[in-house]
Amino acid sequence: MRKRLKFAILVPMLLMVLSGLGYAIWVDAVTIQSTLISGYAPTISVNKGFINLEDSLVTINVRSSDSIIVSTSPDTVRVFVNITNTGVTPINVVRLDDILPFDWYWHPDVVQVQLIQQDEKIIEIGNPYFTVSYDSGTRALTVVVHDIKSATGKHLGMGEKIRIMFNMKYELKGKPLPSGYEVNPPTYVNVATAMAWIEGWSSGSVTTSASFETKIHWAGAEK
Amino acid sequence: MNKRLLPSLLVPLMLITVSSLGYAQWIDSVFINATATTGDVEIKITYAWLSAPFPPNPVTVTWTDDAASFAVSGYIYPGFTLHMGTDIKNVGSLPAKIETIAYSYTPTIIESYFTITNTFAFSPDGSTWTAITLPVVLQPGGYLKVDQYIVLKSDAPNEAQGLTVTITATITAVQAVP
Repeated sequence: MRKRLKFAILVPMLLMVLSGLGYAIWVDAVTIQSTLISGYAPTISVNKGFINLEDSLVTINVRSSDSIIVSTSPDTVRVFVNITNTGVTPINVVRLDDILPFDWYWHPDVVQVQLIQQDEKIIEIGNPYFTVSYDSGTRALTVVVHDIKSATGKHLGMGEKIRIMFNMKYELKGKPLPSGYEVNPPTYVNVATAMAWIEGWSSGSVTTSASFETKIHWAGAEK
Repeated sequence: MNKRLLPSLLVPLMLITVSSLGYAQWIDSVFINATATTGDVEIKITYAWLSAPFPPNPVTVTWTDDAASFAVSGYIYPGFTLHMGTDIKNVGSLPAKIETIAYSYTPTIIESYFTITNTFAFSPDGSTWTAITLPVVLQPGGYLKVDQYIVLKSDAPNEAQGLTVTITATITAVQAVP
């Protein structure tokens, strides 16, 4: 009788417990899987030159009566620096550190920044999207284009370039021609270093240089 | 007297005892015939889609009842966002409760390089969606839209370069207890 009683009580309880457990563990699941491949840091090349120089030559005009430098031809030298995206990684920020030649200084009248596409079409980048700073002690001009995508609607793609142009003027204008310049007119070297970023990933630092020669022209009577 | 008294006491006692024993042995059984209809908890993916802004790379989207797959061809870079959605329907017969989304990463170290956010919308029939937050109980036939943003963090370090990353989101439904 006891066995039957126990059986009669325990079996329904067991069934209730088991059904309760079963009730609790009814589950189903779905998965969403995303497969991504992260890219690599940008790679760039840099080249530079002088837009308004013929044969990479600047003429220094010196007044023959007192050897004062009165002008240069051209009056200002317009420099360009091309920073080219040589990889597949899009670029959103570029920085140029340009060390001007000795005897020259940055003339802050026109700094121009352009994005040049592979088909050579040009997109101008306006002032809000780049900053310029100049240290007269080191003659270091720094231009940072800090948001190419916002400025142009696109990142700097493969094969495209950022062209930065600025002017520099001769510091010795109005001063006597330094000794030695008459015999050995100086050759001026302009060095540019650039880097590029896509957010936290940066390219290596790439440096290039360009130079131009000078000749002395005595104005007035023959020296 | 004693001989008469003895049977008169014993017989009733015996009758009581026998009848008690008999009473005790009489057994009756009641059969409760209970029928329990067990329902099921089942969710399935009904649609998977990309939402603007797309990454610049093509994305292959496929899905079955149980799994959706977004495969980005080409590279992604810091700051890039993959914005995608998945519609999930309760096709079971019981209310299904969805509490959270669990993520796993391969390789696991990549987890710290990504930010993942979700928004959710609920619809009783897939026609009109209402923004919600989890947990949600989907009645049979109800839908959950999972809008998922995967961003490679802007400050992802150089170690995050050149990796094939798989991010798996698991959405589990349990029976909603009334």
